[in-house]
Amino acid sequence: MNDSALIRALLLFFPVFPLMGNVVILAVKYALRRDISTAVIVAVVLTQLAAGAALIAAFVDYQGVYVTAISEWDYSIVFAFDAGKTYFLAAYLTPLLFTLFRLHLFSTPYVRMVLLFYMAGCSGLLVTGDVFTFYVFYEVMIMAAYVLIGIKGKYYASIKYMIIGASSSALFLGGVILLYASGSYFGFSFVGQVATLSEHNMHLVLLLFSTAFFVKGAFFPVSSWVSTCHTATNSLISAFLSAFTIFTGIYGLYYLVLQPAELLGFTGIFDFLRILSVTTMLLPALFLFFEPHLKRVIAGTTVFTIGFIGLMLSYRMYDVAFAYIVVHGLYKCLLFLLYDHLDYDESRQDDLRVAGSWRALAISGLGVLFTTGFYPALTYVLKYQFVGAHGGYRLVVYVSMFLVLGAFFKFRYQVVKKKENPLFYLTFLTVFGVYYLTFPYVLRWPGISVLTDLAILAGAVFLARPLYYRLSRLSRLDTRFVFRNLNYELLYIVLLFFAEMVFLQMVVFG
Amino acid sequence: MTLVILFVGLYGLIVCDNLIRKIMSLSVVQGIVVMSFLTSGYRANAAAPILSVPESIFVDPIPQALMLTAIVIGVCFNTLALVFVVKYHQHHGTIEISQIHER
Repeated sequence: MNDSALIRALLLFFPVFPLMGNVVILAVKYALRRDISTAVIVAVVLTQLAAGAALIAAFVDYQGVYVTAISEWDYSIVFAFDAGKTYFLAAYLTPLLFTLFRLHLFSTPYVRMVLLFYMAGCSGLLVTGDVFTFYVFYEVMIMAAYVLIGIKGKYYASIKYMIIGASSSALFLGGVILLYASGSYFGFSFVGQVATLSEHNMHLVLLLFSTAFFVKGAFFPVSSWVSTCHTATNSLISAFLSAFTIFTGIYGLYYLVLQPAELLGFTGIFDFLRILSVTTMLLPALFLFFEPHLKRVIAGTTVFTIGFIGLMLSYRMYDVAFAYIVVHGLYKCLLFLLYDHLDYDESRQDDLRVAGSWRALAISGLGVLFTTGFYPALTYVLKYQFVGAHGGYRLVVYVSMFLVLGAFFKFRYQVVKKKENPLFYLTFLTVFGVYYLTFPYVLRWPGISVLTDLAILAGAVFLARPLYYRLSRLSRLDTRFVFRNLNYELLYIVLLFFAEMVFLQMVVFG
Repeated sequence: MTLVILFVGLYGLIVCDNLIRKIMSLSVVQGIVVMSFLTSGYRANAAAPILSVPESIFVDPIPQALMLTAIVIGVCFNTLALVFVVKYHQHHGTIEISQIHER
């Protein structure tokens, strides 16, 4: 890399900008008795956008891993970056950009400071190159997220997220201990040393890491917290959680589980991921179909996407999976932020009705279609890239698509007059344009597959509402059907761990 | 012994209906994880890792340094969780999971 000093500075300071912002806010508050938190957030967001864009430009075609340590000590904090991380960075920058349009949602300077802590955690997670710093930055991010989820008074959502998050962190820390006890150091590049370490211990490390990331990434059966926690807060934080935070589970899974498993020849973990991903695509999508609250439906689609991405990862289609994460992040921001422009009547559960301006409804509709992979969205190309290579999953993809689309089309939509900010829509269009330039693909006639998608869409538009009302009378199969309360979800974490352990034992030892 | 304490913590985490007991159980699980890491650095008859002490054998300082961070994170978690539980109780008058309706 030619500009090594600049890249090193960018990596080291990327997570520091938001923390410096907090220091400035506090200094000015106590020295001059003035609140400059809004201006500081704008400055930090713009700085991070510029730094992020520079990192993406520098690393998008970079081969290998750029590693830099803070000191020369063996156990120094290590920062690392590679081409794979640029996708996750893009997924973080998307909701960050929309922060500029939603600052009014953060009413006090203290909440804005918590947002800056959240941003510091996210940024640190992206640039970290060692396992323990990963844990620390993850906790910084998630602690701030706990507070941000509780700002609208839905404290139980926060508590639930905390308990499930801390349980998965305990599993992760267990893996870190075993990694250290096995004689490894903490760098992400323990992957490179993996062949020299005790194979039995490494299997256990990967088992602990993978269960932790399955929980953090909301794979079924530990996925119901998503709709509770991602909807309890304001739309910007919901967008951050759905577009980036949840995908840190995938990020960890890729760097700390799948890469070492590949080096070890430990392919059983890919098989388990495959089974788990198919279940994550189908069952949560079924529960989503019966979900009567629009915002929970929007949050729930993330779980379907997680399943689809997990399936791609299990077949080692990493670039396709990561590109899907980036584009999904944009559509999820679109849906959550437009939710503010829609009127949803929670009191009339017998007549699920959503009202909004024609512009908000039309763009929401596009967001729904693009999330599930309709032509001409990039998700369409990515979806058929996977289905083309693994045709056996065609039915799984179509059924889950129908359920997800049905979950949206069971609502009745109504156009009303509303005053809106055109700049907001203009920004979306610009980001769409940037994405198409970043991931250039040929917009040619897509062939017969687009007709299949249209048939599924037509089925969802015409059948979802009557089907929903008819089946709801028989049995309400929303998330409460399986996840009666928090105790069940915690039990599922333990069951998931043992199920994976038994599966891997069967695969490894025949 | 470690396994016994771990299972006690897990049992409380899954079975307890009361949110405060659940958070305490989670602390037990976190505590035992930290304990395990610290014992991994243990060496018999070794001194504390302070370089000014004229001893040739020290215990491994890495787990101690790292687990300090993990303990701080654990304390933050407990504090924040208990604050939210108290707030929830003030608003809804219960902290029993079976009585909590999520919607």
